[in-house]
Amino acid sequence: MRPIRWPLVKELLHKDLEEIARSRQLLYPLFVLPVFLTGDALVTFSFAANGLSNNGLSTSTAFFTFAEFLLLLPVILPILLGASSVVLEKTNRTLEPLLSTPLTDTELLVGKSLAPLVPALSLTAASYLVYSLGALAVVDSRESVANLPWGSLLLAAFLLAPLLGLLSTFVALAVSTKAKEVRSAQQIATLLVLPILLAVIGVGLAVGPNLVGQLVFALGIGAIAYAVLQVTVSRFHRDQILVAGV
Amino acid sequence: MAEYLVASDLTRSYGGPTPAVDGLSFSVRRGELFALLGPNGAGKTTTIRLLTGLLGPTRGTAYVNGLDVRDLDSGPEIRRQIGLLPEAAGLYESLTVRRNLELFGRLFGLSGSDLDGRVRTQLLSLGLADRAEERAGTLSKGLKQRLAIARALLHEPDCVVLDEPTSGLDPEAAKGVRDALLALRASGRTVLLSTHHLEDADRLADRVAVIRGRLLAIDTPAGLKERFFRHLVAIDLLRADDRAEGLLRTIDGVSSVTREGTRLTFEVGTGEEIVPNGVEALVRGGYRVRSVSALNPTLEDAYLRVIGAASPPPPGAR
Repeated sequence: MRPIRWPLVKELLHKDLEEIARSRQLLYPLFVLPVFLTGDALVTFSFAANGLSNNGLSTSTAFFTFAEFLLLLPVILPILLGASSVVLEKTNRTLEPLLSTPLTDTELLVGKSLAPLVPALSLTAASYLVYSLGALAVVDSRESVANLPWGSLLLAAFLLAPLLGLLSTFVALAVSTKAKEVRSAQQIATLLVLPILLAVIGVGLAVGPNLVGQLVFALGIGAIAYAVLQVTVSRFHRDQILVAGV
Repeated sequence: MAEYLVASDLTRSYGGPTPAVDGLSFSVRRGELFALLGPNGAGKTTTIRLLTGLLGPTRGTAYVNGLDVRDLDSGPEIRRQIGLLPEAAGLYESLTVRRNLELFGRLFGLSGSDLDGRVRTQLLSLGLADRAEERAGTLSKGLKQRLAIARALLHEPDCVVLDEPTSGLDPEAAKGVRDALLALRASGRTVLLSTHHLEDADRLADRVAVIRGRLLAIDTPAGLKERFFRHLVAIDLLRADDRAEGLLRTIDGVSSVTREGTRLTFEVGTGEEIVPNGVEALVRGGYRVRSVSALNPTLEDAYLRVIGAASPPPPGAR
């Protein structure tokens, strides 16, 4: 197998990010969701931490539960960007010139995967940072801060979030290469990641801030992401992308 | 190697009852400007995609400078040797003109001062230097096409493939593209061009191929015209009717008689007596001859003859 030429991948990534940055249609939803979810998680956590919540959640459980909601970001954000990445090249008729460059299928796939993944994971990491800083400001004593499940939060932010992001990106790309237009690609990809969203919420609530439970969940997500990657790679041929959906 | 692009029994099916391209075999010589002609849906774009390795053949194969397009490992090298102008310019419209060129330059492995120099050269030679910092989306269609040509030439490919380069352009913009094609030809590059503009093909191409799924004819423009219209003669009468047409048809060596107003046009075979015999027959029939002239058939005439000969008969025709 030919080694990946990273400067070419970087150029493709740079181009995609530049296009995202210049498109209000793509940019606004990208920021609205993290702001909304992080703000909501922080406000709800502050209520729980100050004893204003009526559902009897402990500060520690509330901290973890609302942190888990931020895992929706690496699932949803790649769909917003990834589902349109290839199909937009098709509808804008830029795909053929791109495919006529010496980029290999693998380089194209990696470049197109990184473009939704990088902003999605950056925004997720930023949201976790804001949430953590906010939580520190809300919790009143050092003892309470020390009792918060920081290990679970780190595991969610640095293991589960990237794995979920990868899984969501591969689903979005697989759909994007076959779709005829952007809207249908986003709708189909959203439908396909719904089970992942439900799993994130369900498992998060069931497992709680249990490190072993979280690790097992991460392993499961990793295995599914790998399987989806295999399917995406096997279907990612320039010949089929060019012909599909036209 | 004298042949740069070779199609060998090239066939591509999209799953329909008939293949889009069926058993095409021809070659484009190094340094030649070769035009691919055919009606809409004839398979010109599919042929171009097959020859440039963008699509894989269902049967047969194609070679680019000796590299087999079926060999996946050769793909990047094949694409490096070819500069492609697709049917649609396909520019990144939110990026500037310069950025569009830089992006493709880097994807073709260029960098640093080499890239800067080539971008500058292309911007100057295609008259885009003063628009370099504008977004590609703000350019006119003609300028977009020129930018797409600049993009195809940036990595200095040995072979340039252009799919309908003057389609939808106004006469001035089309002339700009034709000038660019002439410059390409003068530079000694191999050029494959698909076009509906038969005048362009007649004026620019060394050889032409007419396709309609299959290869119908291949020759030089002059050869194609000669093959289908050996000699075309027009006789202008003061008055013409069906009887005049009929009189001409009785002359040995006269064929394909048509009448348009008072002008009778017909093809003549070999023999010096055919035209005088025709004129004499008309005069004896009471017709007064205003003028007799030899006509030069155009490539369009030859093309329509080729396509017409290949057309399936209409339903119910005998």
